[in-house]
Amino acid sequence: VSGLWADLRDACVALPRRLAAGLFPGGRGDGSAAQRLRRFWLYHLFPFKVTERALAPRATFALGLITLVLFLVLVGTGLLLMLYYVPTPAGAYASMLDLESVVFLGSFVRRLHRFAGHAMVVTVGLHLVRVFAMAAYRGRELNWTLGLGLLLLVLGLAFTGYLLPWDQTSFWAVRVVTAMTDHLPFGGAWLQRLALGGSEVSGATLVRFYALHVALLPAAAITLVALHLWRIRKDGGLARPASADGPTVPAWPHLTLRVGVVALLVVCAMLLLASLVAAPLGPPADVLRPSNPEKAPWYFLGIQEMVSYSARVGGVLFPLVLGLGLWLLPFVDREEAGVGAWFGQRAERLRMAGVALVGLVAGVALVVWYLEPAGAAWVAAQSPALQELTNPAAAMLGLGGLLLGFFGWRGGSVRAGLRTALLVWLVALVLFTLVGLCRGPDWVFFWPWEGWPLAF
Amino acid sequence: MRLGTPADFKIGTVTWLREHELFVLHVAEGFGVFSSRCTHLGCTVRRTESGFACPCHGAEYDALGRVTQGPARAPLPWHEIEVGPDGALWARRDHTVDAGTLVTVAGARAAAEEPS
Repeated sequence: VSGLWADLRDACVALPRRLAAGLFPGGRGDGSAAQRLRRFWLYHLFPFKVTERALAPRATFALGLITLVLFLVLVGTGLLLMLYYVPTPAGAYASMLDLESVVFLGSFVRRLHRFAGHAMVVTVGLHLVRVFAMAAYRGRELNWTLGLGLLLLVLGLAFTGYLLPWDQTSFWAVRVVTAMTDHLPFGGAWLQRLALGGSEVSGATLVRFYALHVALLPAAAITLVALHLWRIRKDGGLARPASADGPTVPAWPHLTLRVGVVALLVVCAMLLLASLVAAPLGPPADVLRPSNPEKAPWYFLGIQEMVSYSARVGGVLFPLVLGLGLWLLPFVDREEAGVGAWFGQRAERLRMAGVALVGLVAGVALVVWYLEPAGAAWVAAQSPALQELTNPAAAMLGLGGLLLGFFGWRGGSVRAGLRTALLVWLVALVLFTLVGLCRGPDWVFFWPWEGWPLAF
Repeated sequence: MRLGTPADFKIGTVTWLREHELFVLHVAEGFGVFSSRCTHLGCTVRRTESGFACPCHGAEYDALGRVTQGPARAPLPWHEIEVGPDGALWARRDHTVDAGTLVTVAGARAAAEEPS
């Protein structure tokens, strides 16, 4: 027995030291600056040294970093919202009202979550445009693919997120999007049943979208973010022209300080925005009658506008072609020139500016023609099958195809062809979004100054 | 499903049966029943002066539910009408008929014209 006592006493005496050694296996080390740098956890993410060029704001506009910070804000506020949200048709809208009026800071947290979500769609889109413009995807096929996966996840999170309040926009968005599966070439019926949990939008549907929003999609996003960041380092940091290696500086403090400042600025901007602007909440879902007009959030308005031309072309074909074209870009672009600079060299800049202008003019002309009574009557006189093709979305898709052929053939360059086509399709998407913003009751076009307010 | 007695629907009217998402049309030539769900992507259409319009993507239909404009390609689906043993009108959800197929119901006009 005395042996046990002695052992217990020794164990107690040794406990602090053993705790320290066990939980911090590296020990104190020699305390040198080099060692402290090596052990700092951020160095799993950052390199020791970065080029001065990579630190310049206009190299990236920190769009990836801002997106990541917004994602963290969304995770934090999302966890808080989960404490009150009830994913049932009867409880969802009521919990929104509770958050808005009863819960301490509930409205503020909801605003933060909402605005950070909107902002993340913006920054992730701009990040894609930046990488596209600088041809920074060159030789980074895997990370480009991961990035496009993250874009889809962000859009999926945004979509499943705005269903959860179960207001009018939520309900009719699910009805419309799940009805779009009818236009998929195969597997549509199966996908629709999977999404709805039945044949109609119901409580089962809400629970499914809730599970996607709070578990499945965030888990996938966290995984892809980790892989995305890892690949940046594996691929050798920021993409840059082969000639521009330039001087380097230690990442600590030059990079870490900037990262901290950007993160704080983003959080401050979100706090400020959430203090000043209220998050909208529509009327509760009426499963028998949509509001008029029933508009999607701005990031899906371009799709909604195109779907108002043709469900098949606008809702399925256009997004599919754009997505596939973007994804294939780094695999077919095998040219070294122009990497890491805005739209490469002067010749490409001119070509892209010209193509954007042509796309814009053609798009506006097509929409005006489609909206004019004469154009509308001509379209209505065509056979239903032909109507799928006699609309602005199909025409812009075709224009991109023509440009792909023309510039690809003229320059003997797949890069030139595909990049001009993608640019025209992106211009078309922006244009259709703007037209969608101007749609009023019964999806009739109104200028903003004509009294129909822009819906957000 | 049971729509109601013929007398519930006056001549020259279109009645929206909210819970069934159906329109019941009663004109001099007879009765017609068709869905109030847009064939484009499933929003509920609303009545307009010339027929029906969908608020979601701007599809328009005439008074008999045939497409006049917009992204819808098919007319609002019409359903077969049957008269039950009690004289009430019943619609068969699983049986569709051509748009504009009107059914006359014996005694319906007299019943509808009687002051209630």
